[in-house]
Amino acid sequence: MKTAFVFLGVRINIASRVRRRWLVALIYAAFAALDIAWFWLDGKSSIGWLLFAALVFLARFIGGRTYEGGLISSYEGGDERERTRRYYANYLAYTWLDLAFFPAILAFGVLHGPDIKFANPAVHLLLERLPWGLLIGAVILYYTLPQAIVLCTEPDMEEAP
Amino acid sequence: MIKKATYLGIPIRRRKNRRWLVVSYWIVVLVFLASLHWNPAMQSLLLGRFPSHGWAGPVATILTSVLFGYLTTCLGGVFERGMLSEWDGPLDERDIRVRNAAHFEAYRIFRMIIFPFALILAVVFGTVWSHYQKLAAPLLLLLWCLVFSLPQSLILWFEPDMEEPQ
Repeated sequence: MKTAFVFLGVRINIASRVRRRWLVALIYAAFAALDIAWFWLDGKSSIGWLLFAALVFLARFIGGRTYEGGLISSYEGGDERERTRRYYANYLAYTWLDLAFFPAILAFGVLHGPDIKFANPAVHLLLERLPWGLLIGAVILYYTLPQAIVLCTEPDMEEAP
Repeated sequence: MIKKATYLGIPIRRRKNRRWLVVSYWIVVLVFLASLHWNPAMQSLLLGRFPSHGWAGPVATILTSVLFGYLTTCLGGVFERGMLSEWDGPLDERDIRVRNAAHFEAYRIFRMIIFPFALILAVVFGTVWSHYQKLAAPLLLLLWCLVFSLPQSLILWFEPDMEEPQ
C-alpha cells in the first residue's frame, strides 16, 4: 500500500484510512457525475467522447493494477500479506458484479421491448442511451471495486519519512 | 472446495472429467445465446414478441428466462444444485486461498476481455446501430455469464485430481 500519491505535482497523504475512504468516495462521486453527464448529453458526440476519456483518465487512479501513478501499488509487487488481502478484495468485489450488470441487461430488454415504439420520442431517446450509461457504470464498478475495497479496509499506516 | 463426488452422474473428483463438464457448459451457453440471436423464434421468446397476443408472450419470456437461469446456475454462482455448492461455508485455509485466487485470476482474464468487447460494441453500435442492435442482448448475456461463471470454471479446471473417499 502507498502512504501518499502525487497528483499534478501535489503530494496527497493517504496513510490514514479515513482519508482513503474520503478519496474513494470523491472518486466515485466524480465517476457518477461523468456517467450521468454522458447519459444526458449525446454519448456519440465529441463531448460524449471527451466525457468517456475523462472516465478512463479517472479510472487510472483506482482501476487496474499496474499503473504506477495509481492509488495502490502494482499487483505484481507486495508481500504475502498484501497479496492475500488483494485476493480477498477481488473475491468480495466479484460476489456483487453479476448484479451490477443486471440493470444494463434489463434496460436493453426494455429498449427492445414491444411497447417502446409507442413511447414519447424524447423518452425513446433517453431509453436508447440508458443501457449504455448503465453498462459504463457496471464496467467502472468492475474495474475499480477490488482496489476500492483494499483502500477502504486497510488499516491506518505509518507515514513514510 | 469441490465437495460433490459426482455431477449429473459424472465423477468430478477427476480433473479431466471436470474439464469436460466446463467445456460442455460453455458450449451449451454459447449455442443458447447464438440461437437467441439467429433464431427468430428464440429471439421472439426472449423479447416477449410472441406471434399471438395476450399471455403467451410474457409466459414464454418467463420460461426462457427460467431455462437460462437454471442453465447458468449449474456452474455460475454457488447453488446446491451447482457443481460447486459451498463458497462461504466451512472452508479450510487452502480452499479459501484457492477461492480468492480464482476470483483474482477471473478479474485479470475479464479485464483482458472487456476492453476489446467494449471497443467492438462502441464501433458496431456507434456506426451501424440500427442494423445490429439485436446483437446487444446476446452479447450482454454472454458478458454476464462470464462474470457469473468464470471463477468457478477456473477452480474446476485447475484443481488437481482428488483422492477417492475410503
